[in-house]
Amino acid sequence: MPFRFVHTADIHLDSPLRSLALRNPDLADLIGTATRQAFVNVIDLCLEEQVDALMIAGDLYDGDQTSMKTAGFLAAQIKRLDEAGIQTFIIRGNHDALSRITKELVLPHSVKVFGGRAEAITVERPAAGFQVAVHGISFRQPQAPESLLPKFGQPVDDAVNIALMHTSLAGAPGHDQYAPCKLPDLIDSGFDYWGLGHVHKREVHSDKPVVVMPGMPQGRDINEAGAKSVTLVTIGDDRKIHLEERFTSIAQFERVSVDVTGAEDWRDMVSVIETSLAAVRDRATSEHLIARLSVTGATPLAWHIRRDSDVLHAEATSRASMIGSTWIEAIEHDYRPQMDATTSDTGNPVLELRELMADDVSKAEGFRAAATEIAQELQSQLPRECRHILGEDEASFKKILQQLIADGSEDVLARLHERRQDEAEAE
Amino acid sequence: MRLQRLNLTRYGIFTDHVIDFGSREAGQPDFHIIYGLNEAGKSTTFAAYLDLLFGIETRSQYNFLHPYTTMQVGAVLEIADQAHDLVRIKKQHNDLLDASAQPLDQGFLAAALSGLDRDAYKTMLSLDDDTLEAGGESILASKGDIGQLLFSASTGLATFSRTLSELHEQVDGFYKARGRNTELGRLKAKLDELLVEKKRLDTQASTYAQLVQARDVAKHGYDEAMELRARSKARMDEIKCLLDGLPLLASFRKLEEQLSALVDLPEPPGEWADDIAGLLDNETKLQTRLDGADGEIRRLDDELHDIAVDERVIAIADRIDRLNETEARYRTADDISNRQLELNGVSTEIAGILRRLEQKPDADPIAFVLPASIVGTFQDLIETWSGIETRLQSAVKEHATAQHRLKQAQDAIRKVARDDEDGFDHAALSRTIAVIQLEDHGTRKHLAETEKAKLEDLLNRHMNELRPWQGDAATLAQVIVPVSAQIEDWKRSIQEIEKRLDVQTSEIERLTTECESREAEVEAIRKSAHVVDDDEAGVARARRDETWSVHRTALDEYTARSFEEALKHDDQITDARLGNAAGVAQLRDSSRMATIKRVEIERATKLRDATDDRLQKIHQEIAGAIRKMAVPGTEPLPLDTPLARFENWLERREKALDVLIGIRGFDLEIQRAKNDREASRARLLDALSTAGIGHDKNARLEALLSAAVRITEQEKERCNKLLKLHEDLDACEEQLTAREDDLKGAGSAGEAWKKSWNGTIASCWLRGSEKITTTAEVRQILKEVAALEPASEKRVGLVDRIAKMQADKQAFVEEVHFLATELDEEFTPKDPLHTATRLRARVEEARQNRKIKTAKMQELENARARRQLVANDLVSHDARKSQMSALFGVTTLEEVNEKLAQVAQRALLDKRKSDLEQQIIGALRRSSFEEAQASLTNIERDVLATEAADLEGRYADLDERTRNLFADYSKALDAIDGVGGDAAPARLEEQRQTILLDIEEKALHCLRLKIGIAAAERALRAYREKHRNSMMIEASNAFQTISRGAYSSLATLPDKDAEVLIGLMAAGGSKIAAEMSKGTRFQLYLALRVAGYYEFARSRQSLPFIADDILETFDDFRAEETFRLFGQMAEKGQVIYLTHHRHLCDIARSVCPSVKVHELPRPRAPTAETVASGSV
Repeated sequence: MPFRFVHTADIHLDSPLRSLALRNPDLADLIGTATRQAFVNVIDLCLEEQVDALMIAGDLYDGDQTSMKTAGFLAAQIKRLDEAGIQTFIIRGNHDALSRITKELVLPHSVKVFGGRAEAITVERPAAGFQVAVHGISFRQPQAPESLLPKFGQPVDDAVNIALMHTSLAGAPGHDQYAPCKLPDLIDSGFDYWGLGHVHKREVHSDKPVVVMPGMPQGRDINEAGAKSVTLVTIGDDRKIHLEERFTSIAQFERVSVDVTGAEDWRDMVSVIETSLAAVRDRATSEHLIARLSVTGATPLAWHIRRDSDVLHAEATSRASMIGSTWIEAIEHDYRPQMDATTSDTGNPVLELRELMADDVSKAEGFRAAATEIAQELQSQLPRECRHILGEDEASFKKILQQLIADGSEDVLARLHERRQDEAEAE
Repeated sequence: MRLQRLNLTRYGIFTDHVIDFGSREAGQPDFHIIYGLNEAGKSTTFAAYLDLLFGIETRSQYNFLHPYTTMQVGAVLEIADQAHDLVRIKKQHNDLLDASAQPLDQGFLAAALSGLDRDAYKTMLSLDDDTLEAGGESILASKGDIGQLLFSASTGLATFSRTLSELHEQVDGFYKARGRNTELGRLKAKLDELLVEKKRLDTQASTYAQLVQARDVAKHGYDEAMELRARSKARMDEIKCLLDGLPLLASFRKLEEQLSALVDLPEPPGEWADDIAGLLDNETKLQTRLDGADGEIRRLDDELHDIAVDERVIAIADRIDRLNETEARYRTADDISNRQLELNGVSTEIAGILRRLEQKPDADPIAFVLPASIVGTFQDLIETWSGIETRLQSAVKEHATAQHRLKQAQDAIRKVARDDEDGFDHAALSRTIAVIQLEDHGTRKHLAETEKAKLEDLLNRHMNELRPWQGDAATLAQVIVPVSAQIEDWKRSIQEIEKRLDVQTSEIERLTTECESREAEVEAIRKSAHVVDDDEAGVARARRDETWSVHRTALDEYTARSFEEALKHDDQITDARLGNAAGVAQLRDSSRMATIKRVEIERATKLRDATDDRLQKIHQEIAGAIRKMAVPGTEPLPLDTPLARFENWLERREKALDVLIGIRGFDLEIQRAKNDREASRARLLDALSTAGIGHDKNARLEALLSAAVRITEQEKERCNKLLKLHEDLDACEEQLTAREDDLKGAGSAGEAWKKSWNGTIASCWLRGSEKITTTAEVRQILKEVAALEPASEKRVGLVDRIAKMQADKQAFVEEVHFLATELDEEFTPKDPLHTATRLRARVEEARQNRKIKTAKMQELENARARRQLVANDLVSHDARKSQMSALFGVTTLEEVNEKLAQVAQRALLDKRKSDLEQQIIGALRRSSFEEAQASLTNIERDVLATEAADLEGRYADLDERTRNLFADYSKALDAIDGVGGDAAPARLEEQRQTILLDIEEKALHCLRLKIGIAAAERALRAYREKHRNSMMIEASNAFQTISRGAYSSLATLPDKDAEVLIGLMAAGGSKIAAEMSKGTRFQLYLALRVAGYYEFARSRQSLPFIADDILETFDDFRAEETFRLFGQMAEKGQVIYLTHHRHLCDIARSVCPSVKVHELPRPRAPTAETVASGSV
């Protein structure tokens, strides 16, 4: 009789989605509790597939998450598994290392929350051909600068050994290390299945033994783009391990790049956007698609787009709603104005003004000081959580200011250009 | 750049219109005015020029006449002193073509335009009313800031300052230092709200732990209190049972005592207790009823003994009853004497009548009664006699009157009659008159004249419509016209030819397009792949051969080199061609196709020309037909009259001729009416002569007719009168004859009556009495005879009645006497009535007594039967009584009753005893009575009561405590359940995050704009620095010119951190630009724009400047100065002014004599065609 389980991690229950698309109250209603809905999907999957166990490899909650309502929700869902006779194995990750809310919860006996010392639990399988042992260890502290691998005991003889660990693996330079360890060490450890957690993007690192980073079941912002999933694992009677990716996300974030080169007029351009959106929508597996449009290419409409970015946003939103279950988060501008002649020595004073702004004004020390003052004044008025937009340190502040000056000049020039457009259209 | 010629080939309302500006004349300003009325296409011209430069707009509005596919505008542009013939068509790519229809790169023009795009050109190098107005506004808005003013003047972007201030507002809407009600403020407030709400709804883990602890404590306390409370309650219940049981047991003991006294009583049958009351009652009732029955029997026996009945009277009672009838008849007999007197009177009356009839008094009266038939005859004759007598008298009188009337009538006729009664025939004359009066020649003549006048009017109209042909109607009829079949033939031919022409023209267009595209293809292939076509290859080969032959002859170094070059070149070409065989093939193919298309175009053009010739021929035929129509002395039709119009003329001619025929018909009718009138007059003259009536032979028909009518009417009246008199005479004669007949009839009726009268008298007892002659005598006799018969009958009746009354009286007396004797009653014959009354009284008494006796006998019988029944009941009662008294050993029923009551009492006590037993078991909650009784022994009531009171107090305290503890516990439970797992706090947190993102986005946007605005303002200042000197000089000069010297110059003045523009007035003083009047602001703006133009032209090559009727608000003097400025500008570059004011052209000429005025064609009114066809 095969042993089947669902492996997931980094659920981050009740961690809010961060998207400007949620300014639309309709969408906020639909996906406001996306992490919860995705978790319900995970539970539903367990019940539908009649698995033996659910394995959660850390980060059920965010660290500062102390709401008992979150715990209440978790308990209600786990109870569904318990009633169906499905076991649950949980280890704590960096985010929920110190979580109080799990402690306060009284969970059913079918749930095993591993402690800070490695344990091995043998799953009771009266009618089965092989034994299954589940090993796990939780983070004691939010930091774990050293590998947890040495703390694991030996695999159980003759059993299929499943190990749960929250780790950043080798990690990336410049990022904090969380229980770092090397893949080859895992492979050589003698365990049959390494159920990892921590990295939000899914990756199967090894086939034999199996090393799986399942990714998260629901992305929360554009940096967690794409359809998110859990891994359904089947260990056959021959002890062969079979993996399936099952999508669970309610909404998925996608960057949609739209090349508007060649679009003759506004309408053409909006149509190109619609076509690109529709193509991404077709590929998306989640119920809702939240798109961040990136408009690229050389276009004579550059001024127009810059000036009427709000109109473009509204039109794109309208087209997206026609496509269905598609929402626009923001539009990034990466186009450049299409110029027939070189900008130097022309008779166009707007271009002359632009040159003056770009070459003389923005480089002048006095202007930079004035701009810095403007920026800092506003920064001081922003809520604390927002102040980072002007950089965390002086270097980044300068860089951002430089960009603001460049963009601001273009914005104002675009408005100036707008007058011409309006006058031309009025005729 | 300069515009030499603008070809409005197919654009807007224009088709093949050309505006030729010509070459620039050296030393003269290049100034042009395009003059055209409204709708003539000035704006179209300007748009066409821009479209030529920058391409026809994607959604152009100038396609209403020529569709997009055929739109075309062309120009000859002078660029760097070289003329370029350019064409612009509407296409996505390759829409700019050169003179040979080859596509040109747009970059070619871009360089010439110094990089200006369409909008920049429009805003910088053109001016119209609206931009002038906006410019004036911008001066106000800029508050005179010179940076903005110079910039707006040189760019034409007058609204820049407005844009900046709008942006400022927009930015301030989000955040403003110390600003209230900014969007940022609102968003921050919302954040706080959400945080508060979230905290309110959420439960933290620490709080939760406290809740759980509170719950557990509450539960423990509650459980303990509950147990104590239960124990107290149990003991209290037990004490209550014992206390309740004690009084019950005391009652039980008392009952037992009472029962012991009643143990010895026997047990009677159960129903006795029910029966005893009935038996007691029955005994008394039966004895009383027996005594009553005996008393009644005795009383009835006594009463019967006292009654006696008279049996003798009863035996003859019927005869006495019958006395009543005979007694009545006895009483009637008293009337006999009255009847005797009546008899005597009747006898006397009969004697009187006989005397008046002159008969003996004792004679039998019946003999003189006359039979009814004779009486009737007499009465009839008497009545008829008076009528006969009257008739005779009147017949005689009327006969005499009729004779007299006849004589009068004869006299009247003699007075009227004439001698020559059959003289002449008036009837003939009357008939003639009647016929003439019926004739209608007058009316006919009048009608015909009216109709004729109408037709003459119509004819005049028709004749007028035939213009330009002129002449009279008669001439018109003589004109020789072509037959209608001919016209139809022409029409058909023209239509067919025109259709064919259309087809051929479009075929040519199609072929041309194809041909051009093939040629373009060739060009493209050649350019793209460097394919060398056959011609070029041929040239290279020829060159090689040629150099070879030269070299072979010369064989020197030079020829060798040139041969080598040629050889190399040829090889290269051959290599290239081999390498690009496909390209070459395609090139060949396309060239061949292009050539074929060219040939086809030529062929198609020839065919179309041939068709066109045919059309011309037909038009000549039509002209020939018109020429044939010419009649000397008339104005002929133009030979080039179009067929439709010619046909129309012919139709009108037909109509005119029809009217002419009508007029002639009416002329004939008028003549016929005149002839008829003359004939009538001749006939009337003839008739008058025949009748012999005098008349005037020359009189008018109406006068003659009037005289004749008068004469005939008089004669008719006389004849009528005579006829009536003859009728009267005939009537008189007839009447006389009738009267004579009447007289004879009356005489014979008198004779007949007399004969009948005498016969009747002879038939009765009156015969022989000759003295009776008059009807009056007979009438009296008849009256007397009538009274005689009733009197006689009355007398006989009276005699008979008297006899019968006397017999009745005697019979009554005898009967009374007999009965009195039978019953020993006294009888008096004189008064039998008294005796009869007594007899009747005796009968009545006897009958009464007999009836009473019978009733009493029956009563006695009944009383005896009742007594027997009561006696029987008494016997059975006594039997029951002895049975009962025997059981109890007593004698009377009353004693029995007492014993039975004691038995009932004993049963009742038994029942109460057993009830009490059950009650005690229940109260003490024991299983048996014995057990209960045992538990109550040795109980002290007072001790128990004290314990109970104590327990009660403790229990109340415990109860209160448990309730409080339970409330605490359930509250703690509710608090934990209330935490739940809902997502409300999570949702609020998500809203917060969204708002934070929103703030971030908006803050960045706001910053970009703020910094951008600041940068733009600084850039403007830099712009001013760069351009102010040269522009200020130009603007100052221009402003002085336009203001006609009112302002001497412009200057600047520092103002805070800016610099403002001021105008220095010639009369002294100055004015800030923003404070100038509206008109002056326009002029200032114009001056700034002029300066901008010079600034532009100074550093780059000049471009045509176009102004569209901007002088609406300028007076003529200022207009003149403006034109002077334009004239000066035109020395630098081309200036074009569009206007619909003729007088402005004149002003311009006066200022700048070399100005060229180009007039646009008059606009075609939309109704022009329909008006033309309507007037033919």
